[in-house]
Amino acid sequence: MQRYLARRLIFGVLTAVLVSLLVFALMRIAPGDVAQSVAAQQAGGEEGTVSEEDLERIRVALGLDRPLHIQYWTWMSGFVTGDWGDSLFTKRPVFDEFKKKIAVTVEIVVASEIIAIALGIPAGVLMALRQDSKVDYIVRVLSLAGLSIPSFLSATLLLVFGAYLLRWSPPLGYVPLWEDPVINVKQFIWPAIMVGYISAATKARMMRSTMLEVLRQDYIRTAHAKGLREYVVTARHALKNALIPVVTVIGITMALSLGGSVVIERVFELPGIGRYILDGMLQRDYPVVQSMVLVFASAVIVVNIVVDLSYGWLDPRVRYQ
Amino acid sequence: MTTQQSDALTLGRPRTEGALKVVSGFISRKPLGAAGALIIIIMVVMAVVGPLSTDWDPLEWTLADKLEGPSGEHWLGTDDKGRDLWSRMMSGARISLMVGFLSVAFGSGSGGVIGVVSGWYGGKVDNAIQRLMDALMSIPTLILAMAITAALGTNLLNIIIAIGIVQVPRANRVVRSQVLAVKESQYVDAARSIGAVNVRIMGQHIAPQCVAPWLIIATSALGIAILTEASLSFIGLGVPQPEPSWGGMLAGPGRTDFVRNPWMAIWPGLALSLAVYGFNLFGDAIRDVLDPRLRGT
Repeated sequence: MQRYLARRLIFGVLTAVLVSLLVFALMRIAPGDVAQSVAAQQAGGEEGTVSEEDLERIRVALGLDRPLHIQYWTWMSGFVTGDWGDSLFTKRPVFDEFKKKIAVTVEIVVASEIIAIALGIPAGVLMALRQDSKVDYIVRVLSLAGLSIPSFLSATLLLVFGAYLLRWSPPLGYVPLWEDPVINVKQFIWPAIMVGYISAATKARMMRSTMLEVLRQDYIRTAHAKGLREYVVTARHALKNALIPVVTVIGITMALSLGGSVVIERVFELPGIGRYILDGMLQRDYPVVQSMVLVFASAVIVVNIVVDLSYGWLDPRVRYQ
Repeated sequence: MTTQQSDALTLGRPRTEGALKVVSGFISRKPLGAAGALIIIIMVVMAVVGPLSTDWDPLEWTLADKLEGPSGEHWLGTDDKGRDLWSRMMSGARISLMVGFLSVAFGSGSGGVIGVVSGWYGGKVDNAIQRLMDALMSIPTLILAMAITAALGTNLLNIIIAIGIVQVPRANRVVRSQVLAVKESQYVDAARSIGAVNVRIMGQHIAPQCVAPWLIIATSALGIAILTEASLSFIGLGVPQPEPSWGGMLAGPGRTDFVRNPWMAIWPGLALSLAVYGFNLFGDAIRDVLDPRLRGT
């Protein structure tokens, strides 16, 4: 177990390093001159009026004149010590901004996962138990709709209809959970539902197929034969085993929700990491983009390691292999 | 394996019994899948002949006609610049479909090839390729696609490349695991023993066995690709304005001018959801037909 853990951790770090190289390279192959756009921003938005010396000065200030491997090393050594560089445009340290914004994104992802589990798992079980009935069909159509309706569309419709037909809108801005829980929940419930519905759809569909597989196993027939109540068979014998594969895709659905946070934070004007990344990308603010993408990827890597480790605990059969 | 082959036979029977029978068989066995296929066909028709059906230019401003509802002149109404929505919807269908099919051909296609090579050679090659795939897979899909279009620049080709690259690891993983299973079979040993070279074994003996799982992945990737393009265009990192992409039409004025003319957002929203729904229904049916393990589930 310890050897396995060590191996997984080493691979995890290796993957994170590869991600950092990929992102670093992506940010450098971008056409156009970063110094040019910084100069334009300093000059008040007028491009093309800067002298070559000014551009050179900006490049030196940003460290862009140094060889690529040195730039990479500076970024990475800074990254592990919490010095993530400054935004090119706001000049604020990326790490400080990250600390301010992370709570928003974590709240969206966690809340949407909770909604997804609370909705998706029972829906999947229900579909499996009533296979090919009307209920099964309706829930199936609904869950496929969850995968087909983009969150920015449902969110837009909600805001527009809420505002103009019902004179309702969620409180604007962002109030942290610890300051005013009521307003906070009002702000986050809708974004969380929009993101959570997509994740719930994925879970429900998977739950349905694993549950159907498990319900055909011999031990379920045995459980029925020895006269156990329907509820006990379903909950204790079938559900427990059918849940395992569903739990293990939590890494994948979390990655989906993190991606979804970019869109949903924009629609609801929430100041989270997703919004930060998007603004960084639109402005080509590479210190922001490279560190934030690495953070998101690291989060996914860590969750996947935890899921892999919990697999042995959830499914004793795996332990003996 | 045998069930899969007998299914491949039923699928391949058009030569003897006529394609019509296969189609009607598919409709009666998979009504939802057939509905999905119908939606896809409608979308293809929209993309191909749609732009010819109207004289309105999707990019031309007619400010006198702005923000109109559906009428005899403008079938679906007009947007905030007086551009004809019908003509913009048809051009949008073209962009969505193009991004969908080309990105899947490029991304899932090369992912499949990488999976065959990686699985067949194994060892160091496999290890190196799979670590790279792990890295790609750990970046959330939309964010990776955003980073690529932000880096390469937002035009149609780069969007197709970005949405394609995002699909590579998944196709690779599915095809590779199939290769690992097929690799051990006797006919592969036989091919090797008569002296077939690697390329020949991979192309003639292994790749055909990977077609079914690859098709399942590729059809499910189609809907996701269209959705990703719409998301990119919505947040401003996709098809640049004023090109009419369904995602882009939902952003900006489509949202802010909703009260003044809701049709601006209703049409693209409806078309987008229906299209992705159609691809998902069709993908599900394809999976049921091609993957015997999941049959009836």
